[in-house]
Amino acid sequence: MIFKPFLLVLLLTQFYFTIEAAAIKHIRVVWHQNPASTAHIVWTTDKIKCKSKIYFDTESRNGKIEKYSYQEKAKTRPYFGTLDFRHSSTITNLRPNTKYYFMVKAGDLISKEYYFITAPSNNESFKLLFGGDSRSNRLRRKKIHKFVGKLFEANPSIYAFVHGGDYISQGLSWKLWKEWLTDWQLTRSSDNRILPIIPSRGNHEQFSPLFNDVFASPGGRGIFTNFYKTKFPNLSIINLNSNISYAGPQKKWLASALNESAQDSTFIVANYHRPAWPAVKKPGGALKHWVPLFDDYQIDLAFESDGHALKRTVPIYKNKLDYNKGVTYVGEGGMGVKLRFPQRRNEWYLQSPGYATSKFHIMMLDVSSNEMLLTVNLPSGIIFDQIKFNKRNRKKLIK
Amino acid sequence: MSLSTKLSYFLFVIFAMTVLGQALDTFYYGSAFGSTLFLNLDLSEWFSVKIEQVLSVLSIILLPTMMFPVFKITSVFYFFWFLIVSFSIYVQHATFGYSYVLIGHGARIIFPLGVFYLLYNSNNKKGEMILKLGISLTFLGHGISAVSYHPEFLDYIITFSDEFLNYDISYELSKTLLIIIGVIDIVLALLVLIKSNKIVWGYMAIWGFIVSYWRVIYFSEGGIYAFLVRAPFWGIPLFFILRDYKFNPTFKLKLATRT
Repeated sequence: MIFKPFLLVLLLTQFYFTIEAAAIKHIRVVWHQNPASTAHIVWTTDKIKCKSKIYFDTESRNGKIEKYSYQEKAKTRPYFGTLDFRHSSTITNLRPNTKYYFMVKAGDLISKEYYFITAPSNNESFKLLFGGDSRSNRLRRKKIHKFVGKLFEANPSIYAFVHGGDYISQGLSWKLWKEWLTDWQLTRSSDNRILPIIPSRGNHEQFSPLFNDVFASPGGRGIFTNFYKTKFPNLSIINLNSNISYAGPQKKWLASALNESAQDSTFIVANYHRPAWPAVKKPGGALKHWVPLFDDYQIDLAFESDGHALKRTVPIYKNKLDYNKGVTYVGEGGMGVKLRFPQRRNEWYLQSPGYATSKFHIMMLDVSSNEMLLTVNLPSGIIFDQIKFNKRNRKKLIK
Repeated sequence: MSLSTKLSYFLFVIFAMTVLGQALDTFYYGSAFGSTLFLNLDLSEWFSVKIEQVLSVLSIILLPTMMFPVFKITSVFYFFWFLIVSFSIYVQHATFGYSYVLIGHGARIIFPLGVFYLLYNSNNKKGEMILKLGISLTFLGHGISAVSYHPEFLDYIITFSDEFLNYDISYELSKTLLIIIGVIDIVLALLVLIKSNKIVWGYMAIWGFIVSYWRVIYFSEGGIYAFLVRAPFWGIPLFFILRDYKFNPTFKLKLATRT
């Protein structure tokens, strides 16, 4: 008799784990270089090695998988050091500024229908969100992700989220990544529109191969890569990796990417983790190796993370305040991580109109053909700061 | 002042430099220990910073007491202070090579114990073995970092070549040089335990000083604390050189105040 309840529990447990195993999870859209024409769709299944595909179309097919006009195979392999499987498909030749509806299939498992909108290719204005540092407190991270979702829902012209890194505390922990991926689903809109992510590595991801598994190897495979340029019509986002050599190939690539961007973009923005002009802690190698190049090409704005604070510097050119040629550095990570007090708030570069304070925040960049507007949004709904950037003439700077 | 007393003072000065470097860096910029208190133990930031700062100030205040054998227990405080800061780097998982940070910081961590045995207990054999083990661990840790292509080390080579030799070194060549440097470090780390001689100590002292002082050149004034905290890199090898070639091997170290 005693075995009956035991068997029942065993069966229910088995049933639970079967259901758990049978789910397609963590669907995300990742953008690397060409968001107007290419997207990387990545998802997770538990312990199932199977053939998988993405089905997509420019019209909604209401979940009828056979009706989609296009399909693409996905590469399937386990996440580094885990028994969970990662499915990744790169879809190319997409039309700009177009809704793409898709469903993914892994073996017999089929997802719901989701959609994303490709980046525009002409002079239409668009918005991007920026933020970093969501490690250490999951509850707060969830709240911030929900806030991102709210901003996304309220502003359909938001196309993507540019992340400054430190998603989790320990980059080699798949458990933490799973939690982050689950929490990232909170950024989705109520009609299943997915917010594409443009990622960069933080120091807590360090050299973990899981970063590349999660984000489909932005900027190339391998742990000494992950620097790349994301091209929007008027804007180039230079995503850098502050975990690898600042002075090595990355610096040479940066010089060439900035030169190219000076020719093909109205605005240039950098995104990397460790600050050159910190509100907290010491400056990273970016100050010595990248800032001179930012000055040479007079980029408009740099997004920094890592400090767990909110800051805006004065426009800086050649280590001095310069309203005409200066680069404004903003950041520095407030997506749920425990905030720090900005010890360096008295530094010259954080004086008015700059500042340094402790606040959770998400930044929104509104890009049009002749100007860019950066808005600092607090989770309470308050707009804390706005900075306007006018078009710069970089013709003389091109080498 | 006798030669052995001078040598005692030399060892004390090297130790004081290490303590000052750690204390000032922690006081002004914070350390991984503060981050651990704040982020992992969930203490308030104010409290975490204050604990760090109090320990930093305390470590400077306690330094003169090291002159008096009655306060020899102070060296145990320094041992735990260095250990806890280095262990916090491991806990934070935030820097390259955090998994072997306790090896790389070996010299500074066990330096206080070496000082304890050499200056107070007159147990030269034990004290010297501790110092040898410490410097060996540090060279081993840095050697492992080098052969793993530590990004900051690569930047040092590239910057040195660019700024001082005016030569645009290729990334591949800088990686090769780093491997060579790393292998030499590892070999020396073993040699110093098995069979140390003046060549081994000489190389360690010169190389240790170059890599420590490089921090001042590379980071400008921001590198002064980094230079100070790395004093054992060259100070310990120099101590052995001075001991072997200036003194009778049966010497007894003692601070002036003991006589």
